[in-house]
Amino acid sequence: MTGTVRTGEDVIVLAGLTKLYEPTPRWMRLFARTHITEPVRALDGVDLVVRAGEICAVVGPNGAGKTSMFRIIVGLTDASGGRGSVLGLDVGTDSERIRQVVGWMPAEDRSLLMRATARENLLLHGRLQGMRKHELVERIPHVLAQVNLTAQTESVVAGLSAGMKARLRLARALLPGPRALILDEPTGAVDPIAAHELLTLIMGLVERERLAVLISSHRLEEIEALRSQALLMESGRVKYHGDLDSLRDRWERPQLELVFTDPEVAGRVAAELVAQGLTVTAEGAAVRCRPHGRNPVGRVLAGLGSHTAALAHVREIPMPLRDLIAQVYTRGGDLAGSGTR
Amino acid sequence: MSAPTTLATGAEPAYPSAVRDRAFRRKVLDTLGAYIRIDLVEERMFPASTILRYVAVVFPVLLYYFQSSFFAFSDQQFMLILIGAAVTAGLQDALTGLTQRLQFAQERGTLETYLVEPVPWALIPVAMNIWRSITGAVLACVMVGTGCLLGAPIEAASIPAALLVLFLGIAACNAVGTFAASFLILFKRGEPVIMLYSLAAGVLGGTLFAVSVLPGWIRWASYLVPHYYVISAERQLLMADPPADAMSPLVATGILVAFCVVAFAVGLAVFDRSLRLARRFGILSI
Repeated sequence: MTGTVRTGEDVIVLAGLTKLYEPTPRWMRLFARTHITEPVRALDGVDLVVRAGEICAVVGPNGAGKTSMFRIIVGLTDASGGRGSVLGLDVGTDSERIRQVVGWMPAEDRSLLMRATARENLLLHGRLQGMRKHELVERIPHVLAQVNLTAQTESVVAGLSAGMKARLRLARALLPGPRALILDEPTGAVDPIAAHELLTLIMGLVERERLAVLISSHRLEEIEALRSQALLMESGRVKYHGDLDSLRDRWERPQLELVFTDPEVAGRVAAELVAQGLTVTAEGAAVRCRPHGRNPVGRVLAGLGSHTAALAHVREIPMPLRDLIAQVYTRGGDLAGSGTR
Repeated sequence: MSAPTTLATGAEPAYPSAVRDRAFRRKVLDTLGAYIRIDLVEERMFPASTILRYVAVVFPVLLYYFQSSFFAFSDQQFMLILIGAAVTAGLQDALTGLTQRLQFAQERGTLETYLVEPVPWALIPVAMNIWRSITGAVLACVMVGTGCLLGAPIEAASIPAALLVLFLGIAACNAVGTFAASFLILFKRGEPVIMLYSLAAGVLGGTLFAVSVLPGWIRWASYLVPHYYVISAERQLLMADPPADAMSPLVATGILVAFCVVAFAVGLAVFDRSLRLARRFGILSI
C-alpha cells in the first residue's frame, strides 16, 4: 500500500479504493431513466488506515466521496477497484460479517423506528445482530446509560429531541460491542451543546473501548475538538491524511496582530506593511497582517523601527481550521497525501 | 455457535463484544422474529386501523350476499363467489405487501438500515412480509366466517385442509412478490408489475366464476397463477356442491408445493441478484 505502514492494530484498511459510478445499461433504462449520463469517479485510489483507539475525521465538500467510502465499507456499494478490509475481512466478499463488527450510525433520524420505544429499537437491532435475550437484558440498559438516555428507555422515539435521537442512534451502533464505528455526520441536526456532549461521549468510548472510528462532519470545530486524524478529500481524492498538528505545522500561516497606543502610528505602520507586499487590515489602533515566506514575523517586527515604542501588544492569531483546510484545497494539489503515514 | 470474535488490540476492551458467528438457521429465526416484532409494534401503535381493516372486509361479503339475493343465486353460487373473493383478498396482502413495504422503506430512507444488519439479504423479503401474510389469511377467514353467519353453507370438516391450502397459496404469492420486489429494487416502481399481475390473477384464477367459462385461448394461462389452484381447491373443500371442473385438492396442493419451491428458489435468487446489481450501480437508496 502506497505510503502506508500497517501494524497489528489496523482495523479499517483501504488500499487504492476506487469507485466509478456508471450509467445504468440500456435495457434498464426501458423501465427507469439513468441517474447519471456520464461515469462519475466518486473515489479515486483512496488509501487509509484507522487503528484501534483512533478517530479519523473525513472532511470534504459535498460530492467528495465520503459517503461512497462509508457505503463501500458497510457493503451497501461495491468498489470498482482497489481493496478494503475491516479486521482483515474483505469489504467485497465478507460484507455480512463486516456488518457485524462495524457499528454504523447513519446521518438521518429516519433510520430509527419512530413509533417504537428506545428500548424496542435496541431490542430489534440486537435480535438482528444475533444477540441473545440475556445479553440484551444486560446490555440495553448499559448502552442507554452510556449515552445518557436511561430516563428515555420507554419513550417513543418520535417524541425525543434531535440530540436524544442522535444519542439513540449511537447507542444502537454500540449495542453489540462493535470494533469499529462509522459515524456519518453524527451531529448534523443536533444543537452545539448536544453535539459537544455527543463528541465527548464518542472520544471517551474510543479511549475506553479502543474502537476505530471513521467520522464525517461539516462542522470543522468538532473535528478539531476530536483531536483526530484527518482525511481531507476532494472529488474522490485524498488531499491530506494525517494529524491536525502536522497539518498546522505544514500549512498554518497565523495572523499577526499589532496594537499601538496611537491610531495614527497604526495607520502609518499599515501603509508600510502594504508597501512590503503584505495583505493588511487596520482597525483603530490595531493592525493585522499575515506574514509569509518572504516576510516572516521577525522581519515584520524588525521593520517597525521607531514605531516599536508605540507598540502596546503583539499577538499571534491561529488560523481557523476552516481557513487551513481551504488553503489545502486551493494550494495543496501538489502535496496530496503528504501526511499519509 | 462459535465464541465471540476477539480482536488483537493488545488491551481487553472494557465492554466485551457480543458479536459472534451464527448458524444460518439461527439467522433465519432471528430475522423472522425481529421483523414480526417490528410489525407488532406498528399494529400496537395504531390499534384502531388494525380493527378497521377487519371490519372493512365485512362489506364486500355483504355486497356479494345482497347481490346474490337480488339475482336469486343459490347458496352454492354465493359460496362460489365468497370463497373466490376471500381467497383473492387473502392472497392480495401476500402479493403486494412486500413491494409496498420496500417502496415505503426506500422512499423513507430506512431500507439501508435494514440492509446493514448482518443477515443474508435473501431473507429480508420473506421476513418483511410474514406478518402481512398472516393477517391476509386472517382476513380471508373473517370473510368466509361472515358469509357463514349470513347462512352460507360450509363443509366444516374440511376447514383444516382449507387452511393448509390457503397458507400454501400465501407462500406461493410471497414467492411471486419477490419478483416484483426485485423489479422495485432496480427500477424503483413495483406497483405496475404487481397491479398487472393481481388484476390478471383475479380473472385467470376465477375469483367470481368457475374458470371453465374462460375461452380456450386464455384458459391455459390460469395454470400459471397460484390463485387458480387455491380457489379451485378451496371450493372443492368447502362447498357441498363444487363446480364440476374444480381441481382435486390433493393435486392442487402438490402443484402449489412445487410452485412454492421453484418460485421461492428463483425469486430469492433474483432478489439477491437485483440487490447486488443495485449495489454496483449505487442505486440502492435512490
